[in-house]
Amino acid sequence: MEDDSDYNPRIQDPTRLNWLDKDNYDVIVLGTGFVESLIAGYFVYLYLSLSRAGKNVLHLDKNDYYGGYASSFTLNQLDKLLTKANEEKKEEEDLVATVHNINNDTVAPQFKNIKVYKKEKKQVVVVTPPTTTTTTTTTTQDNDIEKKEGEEDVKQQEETKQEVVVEEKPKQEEQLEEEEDIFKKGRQYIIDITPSLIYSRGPLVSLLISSMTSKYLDFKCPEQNYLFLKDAIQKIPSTKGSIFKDSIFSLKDKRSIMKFIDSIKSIREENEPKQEEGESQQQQDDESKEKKTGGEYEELKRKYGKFIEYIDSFALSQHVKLFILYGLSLIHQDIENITFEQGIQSVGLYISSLLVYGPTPFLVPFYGYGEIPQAFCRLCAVFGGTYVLDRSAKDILFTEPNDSNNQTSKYRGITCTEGQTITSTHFITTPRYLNPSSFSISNQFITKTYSRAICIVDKIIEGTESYSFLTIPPGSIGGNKQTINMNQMDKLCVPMEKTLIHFTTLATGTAEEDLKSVVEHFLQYDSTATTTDSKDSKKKPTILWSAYFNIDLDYVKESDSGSTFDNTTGLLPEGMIICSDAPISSTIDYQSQISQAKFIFEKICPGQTFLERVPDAEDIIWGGEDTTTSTTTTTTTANETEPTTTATTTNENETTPTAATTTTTNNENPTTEEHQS
Amino acid sequence: MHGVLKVKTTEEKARELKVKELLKIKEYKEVVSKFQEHKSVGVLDQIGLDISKTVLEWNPEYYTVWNYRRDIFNHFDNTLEKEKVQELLTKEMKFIEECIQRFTKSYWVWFHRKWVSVRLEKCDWARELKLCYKLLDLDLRNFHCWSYRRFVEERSGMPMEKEFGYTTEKIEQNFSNYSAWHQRSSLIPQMYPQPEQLFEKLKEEFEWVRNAVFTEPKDQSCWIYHKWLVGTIKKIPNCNYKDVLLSEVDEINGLIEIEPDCKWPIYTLLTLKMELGVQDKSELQELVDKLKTIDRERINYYLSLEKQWQ
Repeated sequence: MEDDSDYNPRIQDPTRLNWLDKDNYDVIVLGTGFVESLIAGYFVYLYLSLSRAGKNVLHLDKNDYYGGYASSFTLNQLDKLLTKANEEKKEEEDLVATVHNINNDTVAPQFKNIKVYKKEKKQVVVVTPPTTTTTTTTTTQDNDIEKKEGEEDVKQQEETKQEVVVEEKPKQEEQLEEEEDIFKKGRQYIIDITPSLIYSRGPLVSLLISSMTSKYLDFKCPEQNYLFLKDAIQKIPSTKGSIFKDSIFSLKDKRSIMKFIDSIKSIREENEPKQEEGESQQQQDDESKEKKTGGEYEELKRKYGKFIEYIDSFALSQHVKLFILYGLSLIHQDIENITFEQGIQSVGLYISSLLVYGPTPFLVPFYGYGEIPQAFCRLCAVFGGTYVLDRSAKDILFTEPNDSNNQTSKYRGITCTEGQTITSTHFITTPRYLNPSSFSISNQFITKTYSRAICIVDKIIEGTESYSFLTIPPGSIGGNKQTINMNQMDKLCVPMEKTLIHFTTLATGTAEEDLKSVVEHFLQYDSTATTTDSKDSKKKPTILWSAYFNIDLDYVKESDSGSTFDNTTGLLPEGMIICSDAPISSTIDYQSQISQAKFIFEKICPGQTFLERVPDAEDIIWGGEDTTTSTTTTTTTANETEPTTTATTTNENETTPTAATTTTTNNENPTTEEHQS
Repeated sequence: MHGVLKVKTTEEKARELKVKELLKIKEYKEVVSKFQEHKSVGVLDQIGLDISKTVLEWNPEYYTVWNYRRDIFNHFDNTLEKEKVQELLTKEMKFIEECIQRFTKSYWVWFHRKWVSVRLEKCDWARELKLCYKLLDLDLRNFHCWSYRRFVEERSGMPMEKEFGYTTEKIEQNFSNYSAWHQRSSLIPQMYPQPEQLFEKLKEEFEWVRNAVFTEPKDQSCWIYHKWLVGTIKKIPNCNYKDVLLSEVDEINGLIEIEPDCKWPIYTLLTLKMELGVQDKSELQELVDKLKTIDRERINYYLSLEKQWQ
C-alpha cells in the first residue's frame, strides 16, 4: 500500500498529517467478525433515532477482508493463507510479547496442523486437430503433499516455458494434454473457514429480515439432510410424504415419529408463542419464564431432566431415536446429556423450519458465509459508519485507576496503526486483538478447537443430492469420537464439474487424526494409485485438492444463569467491551452470537430495540420539503376515498354470481354449465 | 429537530396504496363499460374479441365474457374461412394459458380451454400434459388441473401405467391429496380388467395405503381411498376378499392400540366389521359408542348406524 496521505482524497490540507479527518467517534469496533459486524449493523439505530451529527462509528479490521473467522475465501486465497500459516509456525518460538496492548499478529484466522494435498498431475493422451493452439504442456509435477511458499510461482513459470515448446509443433496430431490446473479456476471457489447452517425459522433469519440485510444476500436451501446410520447414508425425511415413503421405518415407527413431532410442535406452541421475534429461553430470565410457560411444560421439564429421557418415553426403536438425536437436533456436543429444554428448542426449531424455503430446514448463503458479516457492515456503512480494512489499532489508551476516588480505569481511545489518536466513548473488539499480557481476561473465554477438512473432488458422493448435509454420529467411521458434520456443495461455490466437501468436528487430536478415516471412507485420493477396477474406487469421488487444519474459536463463558454476557466487567477499563469471535456455536444456528450482539448493543444504547425493523429506504422522507408535498397529497386522497369505495362494491356485485356457482360445483366433476348468462 | 429521520407512517403508506387501487378500479370500470356497450349492440366480430380480452385480463371470473367469446367463435365457424378460425383458436389457447398462469383456480378459464382444445384440428396434447405437470408441481392439490389432466389423458391416449406412476409420485410428495387418490381409483379398474389381477393389485394397494394411515391417521384422504379399496375388492367375483378384510382388521387394531382416540381408524374398523358381518354385536356397539364420544359433531350419523343392528 502507498502512503495514505497521498491518496486519501478527504484530506484537503496537505500539511495535515491525520489519517482520518475525524478523531472522535461514538464507537470504535475493531474486527469485522460475526458478532462485531452484527453490532455495527445495529448502530444504524444510533443514526436513525438520535440526532447525533458529527458522531459516528469507526470499524477497523487488521485483515484486508471482512469477516475474520466467518470469512469465505477463493481457493487461491485459502491455499496462500494455509501455506503462509505453515511458514509462520516455525517462527512461533521467536514470538516475544509486544509492548503494545494490542496484538495484531494473531488476528487473521489461525490455522494449525495444516496438511495440504494436491492431486498429482497426469499425462492424458488427447487427440487434437492439427491446427489447434490449445495450451498444452508436458510437465509432470511432483506430488507436493507438503506445500511450501513460493513453489506455486515457480511451477507456473515452468509451465509457461513448456507451453512455448509445444506450440512450436502444432501439427502433431496426438498431444499430451495436462489435466486442468485446479488453481486456474481458483477464483470460482468460495470456501468457508467455518461453514455452518442457518435454520429457516431461526433467529438469524428473523434478524436478516428485520434489518433488511437480506436484500444484500442470496440463499439456497440444501436439497437433503442425511444421517450416517447402519454403515450407510440415510435420508432424514423432511415431510409427512417422505416418512410415508421411507422404507427404513416400520409402520409403528412411522406413527411414533409423527407423534413425537406433533408433541414437540404442541410444546413449542404452548411454550414459545413469540418465537418469530427472536425470543428464546436463553434470553428470558427465570421469572418471566415462570409466567410464560404453561403447567404442562413445567411438568414435563420436571419429569425429564434430560432430553434423551423424553425421547425414550415415546418407545421409539433405536434407529428412530438416533434419527432424532443426531438428525433432528443437530447439537454437536455431548448429545446424550442435553437438557430437556435444549432438546425441545433445537428439535422444535428444526421442525418449524421444515418446508419454509425448501425440503431441508436450512439456508446457505449463495456466496459463502463471509457474506453475512459483510452485509451487516454494509448496512452500517449505508447509514454513515466509517470502514477501514487492513488497518488496526496499535494501542488502547485509558486512564489509570484512581484508588482514592475508588475509580476503575477508563477507556479513552486508540492509537491506530497509522499513528493517529482517535477517541471514542465505546470500544468493542475480540480477545484475539488484545495482548494477553496486558489484559487478564483469558479465563472469561473458552477456546474450542475444531478439526476441519476441505476437499475439492470431481463428483458428488454417490447416492446423495448435490447440495446436502450429513451428520455422522460418534463411533460410526474409524471410531470417530465426536459428531462429524459434512457439507457437500455443488454448482454455486465451485466451477462446473467440481464439488466442494467440508468436514467439521470438535477436535480430539489433529485434524488429520480426527477426519482422515471419514474423508477416505467417502472419497479417495488417487483413483489410479489404488487397485484398478475395484468397484469401490470407481464410485468414490477423487480428491483434487484437500486441506486438513485445526482452528481455535473463542467463546464467551456461559454463566450458570444462562448465556449472559457481562463477565468482562471489572476486568477491562470502563467503555471497553469484548465479544467472542466464533462464527459457529454449539447448535447450528446463531442464537448465541445474536444474543451477544444484542446484549452489547443494548448496553451501549440503553432503551433501543435491537430487533426493530429498519425502515425501507423508500419510506424515508429526506429533507423538509417532502413532508409538505406528502401532506397535500394525503388530503386530496382522503377526499376521494368515499365515492370510489362504493364503486368497488358495485364491481363486486358483478362477480358474485360467479362465486355462487363456484361453490355449488362438484370438485371432481368439472362444470358443465355452459351458458349461464 | 434537525437531522432526525422521518419515516412514512403506515397511514400514509395505506393512503398511497388506496390511491393506486382507486386508479385501478377506475380503469377496470372503463374497460367493462366499453365491453358492455359493444355486446349490447349484438355484433359478433373481431373487435368484440379484442374488447372482451381486455376485460378477462383484468377479471377472468366474469363468465359472461367467456360465453360471449364462445358465441363469437361459433359465429365465425359459419362466416369465416376454416383456416382463419383455426388461427384464432390457436391464439385463444395461448391467451388462456396466460390466464391460467395468473388465475390457476378459475372454473371458467379451465372450461374454456377444454372447449377450445376440442375445436382445434391439431391440438398439441403433449404440450397440454406438460402444462398440467407444471401447474401440479406448483400446487399438487389443484383439482381443476387434475380434472383437466384426466380430460387430456383421455384425448391423447396416454398410457395408463404412466399416469398411475405419476399419481404414486404425487402421493409420495404429499399423500393428503384427494385428487391424486381419486385419479388412482379411476385408473386401477381400467388397468386390471382381469378379476385375479385386480384382486392382487388391490391387495398391494391396501399395503401401500397402510403406510399413509400409520403416518397420519387423522388424514381423511387416505381413509377415503381405503374405503374405495374395500368397496371395490368385495365386488370382484369369486375371490376370497374376506381374508383381505380380516387382515385389515388386524392391522387397524394395531393402529388403534397406538392411537386410541383417533376417529378414522375406529370408524374404518367399524365399517369393516359390519361388512364382515360380525356375530357379536357388542363389538360394534363398543366402537360406535367410542365414536359418539370422540366425534360428537356427527353423533346423529352414528345413531343411524346403530339402528342397523339394534
